[in-house]
Amino acid sequence: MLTSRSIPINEELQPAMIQNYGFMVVCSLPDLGIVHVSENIKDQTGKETAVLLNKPLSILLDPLTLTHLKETLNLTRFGFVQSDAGSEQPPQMPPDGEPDDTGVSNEERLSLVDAAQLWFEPTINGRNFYLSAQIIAQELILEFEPIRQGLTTAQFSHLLDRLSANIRQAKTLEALLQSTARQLRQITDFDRIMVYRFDAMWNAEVVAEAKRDDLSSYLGLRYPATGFPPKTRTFYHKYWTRMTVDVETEPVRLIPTVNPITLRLPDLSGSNLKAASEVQIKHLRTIGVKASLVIAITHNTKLWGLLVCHHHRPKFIDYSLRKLYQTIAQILSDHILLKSTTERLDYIYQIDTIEDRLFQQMTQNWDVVAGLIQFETTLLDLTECTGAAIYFDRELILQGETPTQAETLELITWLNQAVAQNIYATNNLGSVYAPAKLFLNKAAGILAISISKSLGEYVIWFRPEIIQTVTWNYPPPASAESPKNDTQLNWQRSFDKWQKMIKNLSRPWQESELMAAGRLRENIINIVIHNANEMRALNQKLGKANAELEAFSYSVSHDLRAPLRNIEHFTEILLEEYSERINNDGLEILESILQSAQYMNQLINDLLAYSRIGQADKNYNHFDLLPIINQAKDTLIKTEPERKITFDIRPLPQVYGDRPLIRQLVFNLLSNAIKYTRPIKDSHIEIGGQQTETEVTFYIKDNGVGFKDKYVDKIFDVFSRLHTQELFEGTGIGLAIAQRIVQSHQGRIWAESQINLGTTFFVSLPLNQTKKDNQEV
Amino acid sequence: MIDLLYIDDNPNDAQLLFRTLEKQQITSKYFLLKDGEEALEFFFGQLNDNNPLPMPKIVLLDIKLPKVTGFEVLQKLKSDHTTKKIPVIIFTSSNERQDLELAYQLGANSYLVKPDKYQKLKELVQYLGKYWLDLNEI
Repeated sequence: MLTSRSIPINEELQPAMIQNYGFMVVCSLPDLGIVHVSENIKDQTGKETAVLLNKPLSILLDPLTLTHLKETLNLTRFGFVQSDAGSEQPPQMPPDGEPDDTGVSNEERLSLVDAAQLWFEPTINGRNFYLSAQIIAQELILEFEPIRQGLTTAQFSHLLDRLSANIRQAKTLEALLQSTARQLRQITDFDRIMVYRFDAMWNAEVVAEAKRDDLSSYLGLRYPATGFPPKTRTFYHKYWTRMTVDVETEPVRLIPTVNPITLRLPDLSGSNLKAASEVQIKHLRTIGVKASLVIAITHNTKLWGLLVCHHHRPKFIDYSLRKLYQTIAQILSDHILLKSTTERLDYIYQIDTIEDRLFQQMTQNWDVVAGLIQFETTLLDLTECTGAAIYFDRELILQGETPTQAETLELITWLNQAVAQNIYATNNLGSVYAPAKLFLNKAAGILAISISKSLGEYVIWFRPEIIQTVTWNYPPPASAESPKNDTQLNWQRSFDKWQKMIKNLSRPWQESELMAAGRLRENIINIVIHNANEMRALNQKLGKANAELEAFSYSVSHDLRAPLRNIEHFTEILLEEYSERINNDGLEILESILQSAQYMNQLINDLLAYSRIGQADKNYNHFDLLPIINQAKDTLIKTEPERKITFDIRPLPQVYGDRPLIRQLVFNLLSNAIKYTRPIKDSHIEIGGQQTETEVTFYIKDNGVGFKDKYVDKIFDVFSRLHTQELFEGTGIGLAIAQRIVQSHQGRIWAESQINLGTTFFVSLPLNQTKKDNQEV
Repeated sequence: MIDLLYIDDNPNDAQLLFRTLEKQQITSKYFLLKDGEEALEFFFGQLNDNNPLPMPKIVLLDIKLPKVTGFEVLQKLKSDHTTKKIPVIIFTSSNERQDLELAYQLGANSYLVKPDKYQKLKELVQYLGKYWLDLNEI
């Protein structure tokens, strides 16, 4: 049974090639026989290929290194050289994929070994090498590179101290990356050192850069994900570094190309020496780079970005320096994690503060909309957005860059019908709501919270399409004469593809933004509930006040009137039975007492009538005014039979209202007109009216004494009188009752008057209040 | 023997009524109780079980009384076999429709509103006198 692992991986299906700065030996396992050597082995060691192939490894390595290697491999890999029973012969490997007596499958063992890179420092023919060993696909791959001007331990730790101190001091993530790039460049003098950061789709952006002054900056450049296929990413994640010493040096082959026993190509997927791919070399040549060193930066076991070093001449970086870079990259990874966590916490704290402030603002007047837009902090600050909308209390308010009023209202209608969640975020609105395609420049992504589903109330934040916010470039060619080559065309294609990929999309909404929006929603709802409670409490108070008023009216009508009645009766008894024993002065006083008591009785009756207008259950009907006016007129004329009053009653419309109350209204107004025309010899009263689409207006016009303009509103106040009791009798409550009746019908009453010329009272009543009444109930 | 039992907490009303009763020479055998509790004690108190007080010929009853309302007194009087035949006349300042209806529902024999004018009171007393003169004849 073959696993995918055991199939030799060679992406180009071409002979494995390595860079010339080192050499490679591939041994079979477990016998450590040399199967392949790189063709440059003679240049590096002085040993002929033919002498080495199919010989034991001991022909190349000194016994000490060999023993060391064997021991380490033994420690690392189960069952490779079993030292039990003193056996010199290593036991056979169990067949592929089948578990042996240790219960561990070969697959698991291989992965254990894959992760381990073992380093030695052998001397071959008087030259010192670094040797790295790893087992891939049941072959031992040995890579040798010469030791040149390596760092001493003291130098290494000094540099490490300096760099890590620098990393610790950085305040922000950006500063951290920038200063690390600068410091690393000081050590190795690369022409350019960049930090790439991957986005969620594996596009890379240059987020930090240190470079030779004369080079143009690559900062902000974006590389399409196609430049970092999964295989490449896996390599960096596992092996951390890849060095290309000189793109112009021809790579060297392995001899023989194919393993004569297994008929496989050696698997160099984990090799350091492995030659760069055609595509990579083309790319580096295009931008004039000869040497590169790439080191992985991981974050939470995920590839976060790359440290990319470029040089415009061939450059070899010693293993110890590479190791330093790798260590720095590791420290960097940890600090990126730390920094991004703190920055995220800072951001969350910032959002929290904004959210608090919005809440304070809303509670200032218990006004949601004002709190979100009228102060220094607005709802635009809560998320990273370019516009926002609030639909609340049947009003739509737009802030910043948004779709139009009509578009937003339609969007809200759609949200209310199609989206069940209370908090909804999408960075691709166009995919779920087609009309959004018309305003992608304003709202390709939305974050929406519903305040009330039944009222369709929402708060929405908008983000534009990403294409509008990001500029995309590819690196300019090294010189003007190099026209667009394949690489650049490839790049253009990648860019097009990327564009297609992100078309219609906005930047995605962050979890923290969703949470902040959710909290804002809760706060708004709390305020709405608070306001509703206030309203209910107010209604309860009102209800209580009404009940108290009713009790008061009852008490007025009974308790207050009883003593008054007694005063009247006793006075009457005195007048009747003792008039002979009281002189005229005393009798007049008794008369005055009686009149006062009677007047007070009248006041109480009027007040009672006034207070009961609001309480009475109204029975709305359409009816004619004329009979009511005639009835009131006849009743009133009887009280003053000696007077001659001419009435001019014009056509009158039907009114809509409570008949007993309207009757009282007409009675009060008419009695007013009759009363105040008393001094006029030819009293004349005109009554008329008309109807519009929405209301009925009628008037009662007299030629009486009139009043000054400034009293035009005062006349409707309770107990307000413009004349003395001697001149015109009355309690001053008639017009107050009239006004109250009109107001309880949602109508209007007003007067126009001129001294000595007369007064006209107008009453407007709404035509049909059926709908309105239902709503209020 | 009591001709008229008047139950009212307003002493002035009582004074006026009794004065008018005597002036009109209707009767001087009247008795006043100041609240509903006194009224219930008068009719149903323990004392009366052994030594029953004479029942009045007629009861004049105000509605708004302290402790026990006139309606409660009326209901008790009209639901007990010992008292239900005594004529009860509601005598009140309320001319609320619901008070009138409730009074008759509970078995009141008549409902009189306390008059505003003294003249009216005198007429009312005449009517009362005729009422139980008629009763006496039966």
